[in-house]
Amino acid sequence: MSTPSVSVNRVLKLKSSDGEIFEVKQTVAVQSGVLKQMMEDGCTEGEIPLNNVDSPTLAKIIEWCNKHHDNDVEGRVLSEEREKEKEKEKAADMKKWESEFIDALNRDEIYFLLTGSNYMDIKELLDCAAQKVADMVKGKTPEAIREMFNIQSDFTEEEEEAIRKENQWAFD
Amino acid sequence: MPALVNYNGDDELHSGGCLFPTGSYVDVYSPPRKRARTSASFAFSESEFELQNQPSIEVLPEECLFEIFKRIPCGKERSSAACVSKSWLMLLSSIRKAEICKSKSNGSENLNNSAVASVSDDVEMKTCDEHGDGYLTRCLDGKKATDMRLAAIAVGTSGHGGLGKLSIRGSNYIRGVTNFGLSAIARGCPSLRSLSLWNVPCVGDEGLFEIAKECHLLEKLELSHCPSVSDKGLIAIAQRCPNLTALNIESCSKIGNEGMQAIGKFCPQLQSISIKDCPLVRDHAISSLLSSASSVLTKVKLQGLNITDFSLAVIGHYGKAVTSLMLSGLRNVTEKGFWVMGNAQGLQKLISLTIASCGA
Repeated sequence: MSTPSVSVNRVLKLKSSDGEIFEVKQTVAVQSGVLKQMMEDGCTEGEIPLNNVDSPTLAKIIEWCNKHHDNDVEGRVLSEEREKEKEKEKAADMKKWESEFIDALNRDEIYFLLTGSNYMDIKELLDCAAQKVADMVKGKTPEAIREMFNIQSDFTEEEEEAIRKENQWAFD
Repeated sequence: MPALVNYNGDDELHSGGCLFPTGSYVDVYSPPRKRARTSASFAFSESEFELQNQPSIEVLPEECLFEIFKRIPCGKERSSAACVSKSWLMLLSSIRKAEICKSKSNGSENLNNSAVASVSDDVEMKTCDEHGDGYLTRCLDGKKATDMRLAAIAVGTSGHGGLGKLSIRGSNYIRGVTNFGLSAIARGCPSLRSLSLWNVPCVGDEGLFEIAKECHLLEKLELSHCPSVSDKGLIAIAQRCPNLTALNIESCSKIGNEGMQAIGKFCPQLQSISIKDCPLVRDHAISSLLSSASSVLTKVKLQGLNITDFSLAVIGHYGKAVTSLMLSGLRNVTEKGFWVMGNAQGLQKLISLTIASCGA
């Protein structure tokens, strides 16, 4: 099968679960594993329905991908010129941007972002969002975690006691 | 109400010209090796969160939770998360220790070590100093032996030093130990050195496969009344656990010659073997065990087996390192067999010989 090259100018039309169309440059879209695969398979004609991603989430995901794409392009130019330090700075800036990006989201938005990035296979975004949720768990008691994430315990009393005993040292 | 609530894993998500391969519904308790990239593996009970108004984190597909849980550092954080709910516990315990991402902020390491000392004084939780390296021991009896308990042990012990020895004696009638529980132990406790399973009918080869895959330090294995374990499970252990020094098999109706042959072939450190009431273990098993593992094999106990004089001859010939030999309830052996065993002159180091109820 022919592998059509990813051209800078071509755009993909992504359709969110609520029917909104987003145009994304192919060079940006390659960050998504599934879109990349589709481009390689040459089946990106027309609208690409993303049944599991709603429009606000897709907008966020595209914002993320655009930012990372821009950074890549700039990085390439700079490294040709010289300075590794600038690159480091760039990486730090990106980290900062990423954490601001994630911190600005509310919990629902993070859930959606996790599901969306998982669905579209965007590893870095998935990493970042998953890390954010993992950080939220840190230093909390099981009760606090349940409350924060709205989880009902389904342990029986006896079970819970046994589990706690086994993990007792977490509560000392 | 946020739209997320509607994500109850139904046709909505599978509908339309979906471009992506939609995997089957992944069970929450499935092993994490192959995580299907499925968009709707919402295997949590639906009725449960229909009652709730706010979206819970449990609406996330399992792979997303898996990504999150990988990033919860070992130790207190994991233990705390394990107490949140069954699905959290089960998912946490299905993650291999090696899969857990190292925390970027590494301040928790020291905390973990200091916590080792504060393990509660529960009878079932004792540190074992047998080898001077203080590994943890757990013994579960009957009613307490459930998959959930094993999962809790897997998560709990991995934070403070790792489990060294596990005994399961009997299994809960309703929610007994299965391959799932044993797999959780395998993934969370790669440091396991001794495993005893008594009377756990639901644990089969799959569970042992996981142990073989993860616990390469295993030195001692005891299987008693495990009717679901076959040669396949034992072969897997033999191939992946080269440090095995002691093997004890009793009343395992599916274990026979092939399993024993593998033990003889792949476990050069085997010092002690005891086989009792296993109808499929025949002469061939004994001859392959003795002829290949003879250099360090010192203790041999054979009881209630369908072996003949041929096995006795093999023991007499190859049992050069054997110091202790016990033969009991061997119906098909005769005096002639014992005569050959003695005259083969191989049992030079024998110190203790016990013979009971042999011959017709």
